[in-house]
Amino acid sequence: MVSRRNLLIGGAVVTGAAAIPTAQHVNWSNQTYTRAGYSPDLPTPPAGESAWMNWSGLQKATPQKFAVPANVAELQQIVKESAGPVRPVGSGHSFSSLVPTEGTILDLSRFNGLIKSEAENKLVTFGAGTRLRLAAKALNDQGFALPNLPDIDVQTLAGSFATATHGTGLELTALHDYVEEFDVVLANGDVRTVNRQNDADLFAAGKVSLGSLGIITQYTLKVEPAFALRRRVWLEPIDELLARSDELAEQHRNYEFFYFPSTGYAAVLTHDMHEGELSERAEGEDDDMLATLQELRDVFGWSPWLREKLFSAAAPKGMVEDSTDESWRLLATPRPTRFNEMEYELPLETGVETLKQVVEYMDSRKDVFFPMESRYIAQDDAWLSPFYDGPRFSISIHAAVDESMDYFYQDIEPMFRRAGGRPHWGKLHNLDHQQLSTEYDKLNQFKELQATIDPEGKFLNDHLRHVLQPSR
Amino acid sequence: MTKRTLVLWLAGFFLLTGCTENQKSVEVPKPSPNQIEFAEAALPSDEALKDIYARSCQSCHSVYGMNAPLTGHKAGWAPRFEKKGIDGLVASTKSGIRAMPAMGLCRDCSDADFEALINFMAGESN
Repeated sequence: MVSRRNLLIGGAVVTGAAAIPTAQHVNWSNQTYTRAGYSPDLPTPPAGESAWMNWSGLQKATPQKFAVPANVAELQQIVKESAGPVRPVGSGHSFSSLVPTEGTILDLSRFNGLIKSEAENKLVTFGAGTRLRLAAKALNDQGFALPNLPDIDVQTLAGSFATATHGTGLELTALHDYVEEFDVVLANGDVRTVNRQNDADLFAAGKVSLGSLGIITQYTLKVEPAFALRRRVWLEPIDELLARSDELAEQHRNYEFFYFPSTGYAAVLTHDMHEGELSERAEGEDDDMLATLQELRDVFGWSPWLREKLFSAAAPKGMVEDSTDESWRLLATPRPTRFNEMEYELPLETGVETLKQVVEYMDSRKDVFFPMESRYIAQDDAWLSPFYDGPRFSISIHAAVDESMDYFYQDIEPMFRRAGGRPHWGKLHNLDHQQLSTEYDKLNQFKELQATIDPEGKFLNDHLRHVLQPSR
Repeated sequence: MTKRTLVLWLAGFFLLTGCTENQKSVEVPKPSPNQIEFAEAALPSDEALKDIYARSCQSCHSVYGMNAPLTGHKAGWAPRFEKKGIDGLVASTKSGIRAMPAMGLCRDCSDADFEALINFMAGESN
């Protein structure tokens, strides 16, 4: 079990060892990690305009108009009258530049909540601006559940679907695959109800559409009867874990792991179906112990050997947690602290081997400490889904919002690309249309559809033009 | 098996790292299981306020572990009121603070809306 005492022992080791004066230690401890150009502040907008930034503070904009339409009629009017660009925003959780525009930003949060439920068909309709956690809670109140949830659940349905956001599970698809029908306001203001039967192409394109085809106002989703899960968590040396990772993915409904750079260890999380009584709800904080872990980087980053030994000595052994709860309470985790993130989805054949390279690289850098997350995702059929032609292995790397992420692009992205990886649309990447179209076979088909229904590109900002259109 | 989970340990790890960009927020007593349960279900009685709370505030302020003061957890709100007063709390909401974006995910809220929402979240008793 995670024991405060165990990790405090580590803390004592750190504190004691830190008292040993060495030139390396002093030099290391005096460095700053804040990246050049970092500013936590909103931009200053021109008079009459407003300022916006994403959750991590990396993306910023001063749109001429920031609209929060109350209903479809208001939304139609805004879209029809706007010259563009018009960009929808959910909870601002995308790290890539999907939202920023000097035109109009549309906040769909008033399109919120459960609209209707057809219990016999397991179909429910939600406003597109409903945040995932609240949708999951509302479903649970009705005796239903989403089959899976991502690690973070404050995003809106529209934001998570539009970017192919996913949880983990070799047999579980990304969230947009639950969509059975959606309503979209097109560039000319018309509203269209789209499903697999009435417009197969727009349906396959619209599920993961980056907000580039129109503004989606509501979704009808296929859901499951509410279910409970058993969660097990343990720490394991990364080498041992990677040798059996694919096996664990096949054994468990949900399986993922977080590697802690320069420690040699990963935290493994599994969830499996549970029937019967639920255990006492998991709760707790271990901030004092966590302070020890951050100190490992700040104090002992200069000595990888010592850092790894200290972590190993302090790490809890055996099963850390074995608990049960309703699925929606276990699958997502509160993440109050902001970070920036790059994520690539890799073929299963290259995933684990690539992760080994990334682990080796991260361990060689003494200055990183944020956990890396690895997950498995099943195939679906959305045109811009990274999983449209088969299951994939996902690797996510993070950096504190104020720390450098240059190495994401310079060193790690090339590893992902060599392995046939596809970037997550809502996370950081540096690829243009040409590079993306080599990985996303349907990108040109998507672009042609987009150009047909929105010839003026009203919903495209600079980033989307870069992604969807060949450079001139 | 202990309920002090590694997942929360990780969550706290993320939380901790936030201290590299922000100083730790005020120290407050940990909410009880009853207070956590209350926060999850509490809604304003006023329909208009309920609508705003549900779409903008609830996803963070009703969830323990988000590092946002919990709805109904007076001990979590009291030091903030003491430090900033209601005007200061409204100002923090408008400018954004730590993980809460500017305007607290309610771009169409007035100062009066923010004040009513803060008073609801801070004032309900469990």
